[in-house]
Amino acid sequence: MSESQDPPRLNPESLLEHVAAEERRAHRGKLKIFFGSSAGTGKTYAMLQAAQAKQREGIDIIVGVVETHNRPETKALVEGLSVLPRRKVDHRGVELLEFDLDAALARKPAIILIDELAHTNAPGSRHPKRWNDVDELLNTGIDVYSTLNVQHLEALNDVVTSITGIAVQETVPDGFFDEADEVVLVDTPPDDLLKRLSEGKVYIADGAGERAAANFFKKSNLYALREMALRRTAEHVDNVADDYELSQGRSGTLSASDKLLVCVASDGVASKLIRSARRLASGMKVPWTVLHIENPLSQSYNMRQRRVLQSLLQIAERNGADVVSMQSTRIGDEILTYARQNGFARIMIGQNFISSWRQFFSTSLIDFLLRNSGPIDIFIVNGENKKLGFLNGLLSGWRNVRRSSWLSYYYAVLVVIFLTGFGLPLRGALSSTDYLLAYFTAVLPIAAKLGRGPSLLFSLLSIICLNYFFIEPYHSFTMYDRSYWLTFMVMLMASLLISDQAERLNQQLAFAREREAQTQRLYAFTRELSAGRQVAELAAATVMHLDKSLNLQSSLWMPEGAQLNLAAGIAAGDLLKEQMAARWAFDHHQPAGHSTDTLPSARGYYTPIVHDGLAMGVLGIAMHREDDGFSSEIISTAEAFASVFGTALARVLSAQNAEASRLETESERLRTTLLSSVSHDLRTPLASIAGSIGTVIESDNLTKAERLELLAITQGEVRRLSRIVNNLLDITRYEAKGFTANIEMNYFQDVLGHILSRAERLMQGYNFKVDIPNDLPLLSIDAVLVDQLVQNLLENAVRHTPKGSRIKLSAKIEEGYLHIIVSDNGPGLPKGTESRVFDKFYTIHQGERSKGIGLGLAICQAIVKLHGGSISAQNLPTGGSAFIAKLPLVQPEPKHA
Amino acid sequence: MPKVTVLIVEDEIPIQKFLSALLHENGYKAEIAPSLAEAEKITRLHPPDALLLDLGLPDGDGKQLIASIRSWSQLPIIILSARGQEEEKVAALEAGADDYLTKPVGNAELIVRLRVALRHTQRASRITGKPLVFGDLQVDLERRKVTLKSEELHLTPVEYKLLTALVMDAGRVVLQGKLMQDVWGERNKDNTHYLRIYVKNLREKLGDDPLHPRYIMTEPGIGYRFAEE
Repeated sequence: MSESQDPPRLNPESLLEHVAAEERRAHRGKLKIFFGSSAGTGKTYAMLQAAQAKQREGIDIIVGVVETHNRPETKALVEGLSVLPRRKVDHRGVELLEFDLDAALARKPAIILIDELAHTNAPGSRHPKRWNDVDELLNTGIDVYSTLNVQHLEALNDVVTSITGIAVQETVPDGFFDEADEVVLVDTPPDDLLKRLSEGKVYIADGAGERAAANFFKKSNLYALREMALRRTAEHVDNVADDYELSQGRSGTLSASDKLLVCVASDGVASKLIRSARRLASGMKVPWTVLHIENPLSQSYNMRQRRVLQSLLQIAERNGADVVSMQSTRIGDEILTYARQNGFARIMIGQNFISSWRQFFSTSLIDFLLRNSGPIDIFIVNGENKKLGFLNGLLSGWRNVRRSSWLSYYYAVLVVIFLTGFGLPLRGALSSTDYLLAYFTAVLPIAAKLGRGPSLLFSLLSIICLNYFFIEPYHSFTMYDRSYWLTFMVMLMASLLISDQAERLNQQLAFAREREAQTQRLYAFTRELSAGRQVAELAAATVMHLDKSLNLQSSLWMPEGAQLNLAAGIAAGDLLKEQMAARWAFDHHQPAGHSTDTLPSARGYYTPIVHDGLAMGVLGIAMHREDDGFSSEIISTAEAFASVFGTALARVLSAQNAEASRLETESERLRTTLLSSVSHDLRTPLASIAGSIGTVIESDNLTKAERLELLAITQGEVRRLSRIVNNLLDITRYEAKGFTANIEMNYFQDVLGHILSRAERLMQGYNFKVDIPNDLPLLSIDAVLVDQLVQNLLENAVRHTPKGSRIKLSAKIEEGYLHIIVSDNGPGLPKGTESRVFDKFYTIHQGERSKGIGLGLAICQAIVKLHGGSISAQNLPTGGSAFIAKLPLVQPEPKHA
Repeated sequence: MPKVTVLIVEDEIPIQKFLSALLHENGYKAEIAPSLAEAEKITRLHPPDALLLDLGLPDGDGKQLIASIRSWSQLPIIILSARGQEEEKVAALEAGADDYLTKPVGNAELIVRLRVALRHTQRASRITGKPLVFGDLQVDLERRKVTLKSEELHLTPVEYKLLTALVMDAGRVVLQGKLMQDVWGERNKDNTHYLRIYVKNLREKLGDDPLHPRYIMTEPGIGYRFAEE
């Protein structure tokens, strides 16, 4: 039969998912599991044999962990393999030898042997379970050989417990097992196994294990376990075959239209539900989703239950389920809407006897679903705690109720006293039924307003008072008419029902208010972030808002070079450990720390801030009290904040990038100017130097005067060149990031003294005047830079005025600034160039040759800026020009040019 | 009388050439060390009378050589440094160098500085000698007497300390940090405004115009230099 005739229906979604999984797998190492039905089947032995064979092929294979249990034949097989040293861990005074994950990652062999996949790591290790370590090794592309017993598979855990009567604590998620590339069943018939056991060849966990082992290694158990191991291996082979078919474009039996939706809440049945769902889903080969739906009105369920549920959800996720969390006060409607919208054909739900005693009075969730599900199948899983009945339900309901204040009880008692006090004088006029009605009427508002406790107290006190004072015989607790008991019961019931309804309304209101407040906070947060321009500003706002809205301690971590550093907030707990968790989250794009599988001993929960597939930072949250866990709504709120922050951060960074690229363009323009102007100014003196020197060397007939003239030309050109080079170097230095002026207290006169001692030659042929007041105060300036500033201004004046011109250097104090003024009576500045003369490479062309490369004044401007001052040029009304540099008398802080 | 020997520590051959030509021209004997290691060897084997040291050498920091020489000899060391390296200069002077010259070096200036530095080798003997004479100014260190144009000047103790610190090294640059420490002690080392004010006062008493000083020259960013005798 050819397939083209009957094209099977291909679901594009599952095919896509498959392609994505293949992509992941391409970079991932291969996992080979040596799988057995129980201890003693020879898994480690088989693994070592395989390792020896690989080593002989020349493959780089090392032993990460192998437990030989001192069996000589196993030990012999380890010989010749290189063994990774174990990591010593001190746990409460006991030295444990653990697998060294970091050493293995650093060593990076082709294949590594890791015995006992289900092992639990010592507390404080990076991952709680050894299979997490293996997962990380696989992710870095290292192949892993490992061993596993069937009873350690998570989904079979409760089955194994029911068969053998021994609860197994160390488990591996089935999803991880199913993703193994190869499963090698190491099968030993039970008879042989028992024989080996009697010969002492099977390692039994020490001490307390003895008796347990005797129970465990019963022939019937071994057969059952063996059967499970065989079946599980067969299923794995099936999965691989399905994968193969899928990759070939043939549809396997995987059908998304039969998707299974499992609804859990934090109650006792969740654990069993998830296990059953996994078995069902993998048996039917359908995708499954866990819908964690919680009624906000039952928020008071305890922390322990909450944490158990979180870990169950993680187990489900590891086993291939999608996990969705939501909150609703109308659970039934919500479940059905979600199932319909997402095309689920089956809903699985637990019948929970302890969920709420209210169900005795209202329609149960199951009834609701059965009645309204339409074509969707409903699977019901029985709860495990059947012995907990009505009473326990009542008690658990009681515990869930908000505590009423003592004042409420006081009011309840007051009303009883009031009623009784009023009623006593009227005893003759009214019948006992009237009193009953009066008390009964009072219980209604009390139940509604004051809550359950006070209303129950009121009912009880009322019953006592009624019985004692108003029902005959008076002043005794006996009754002639027994039918009053019924009335009392009704009264109690009414107070319970009404207070309960009122309580629910109150909680609903509080919940709605909380939601509203949360939305407001997120809105305020978003608004604040959208105004932020600086990364540090955004980070601080995020931490502040998050701390306020969730009442916890949050922290933001941002990359700085190769480091990931705390950018805002406080890291609760040990900084180093928290940083490691944050780092891991950043590197792996996955949450780490508290409540996760990676570094769970950290105080904080760290979620990466990912934008466009790029990790931009990490958001950490930590509860104020170490023991408190994170509820799903805290985590989802934190993630909402992280996502808003990520978007804002991306915006700010892209704005900064735009600014950077604008600067880039600007500096590109400068570079071009530099090349064109400097190349000319550098080449010209070089040409005349080369020419003059060449003539002096080559020609014999020069007179001494001629030779000296040529050398004098050379000297002049060399000076010019060195001035250009110095100016170039100076402007680069002053404008470099991080350059600060060396500001000290100085007299301007002192600096001038140094300048004037060298100005004589410069000013030769000019009418040079200096007018400096004697009483200039001490200034905070960088003497070296101010020296250069004045020098450049004087040189500039000389360069742009003809010989014989008057050049005047003066200074004065005005409005908190020292004004340094260099004026001349030369030709002045061409109109409109007053502000441009300070631009780099701007020159005024006079005649055919420019008189400089246009850096002298640019350097002046840089120096003035380094002092926090300003510089300007202007033409004087009397002719000539003036350059005025203003330096602040007091330096607030060092400035960059 | 044997010629005075100057060791040029410099790795650039053209600069070696022109420096040794200049030194020969002025009657000195020039030797050349192209590296710090070589310089260290030569100074130990045949101690020269003075050292011209380029700070940027291929095999290390010239300051190390200064420190190493200062551990056993007071021979004059003059630094050749590039423009804008004020901190480098100060560090080298603190390490024990006698003076500095900024490249490109003026020929006449180099010879003047070299002479001053060489003369200072006998400084120790001068302290007990006769009054120091700087034109109209006489400083008698023994009698703690300062006269200007034969008239006695009345200096405060701080001014006197400052003046002695400067004249003891007349002709050479004195780091402002060293002045601060000598006059005001370790604790006030960074309060440079004391120094500025006292230098101003001292100049006034010496009749020195800060714009055209005769006695106390300012070296911006480095310190002061008192005129030669």
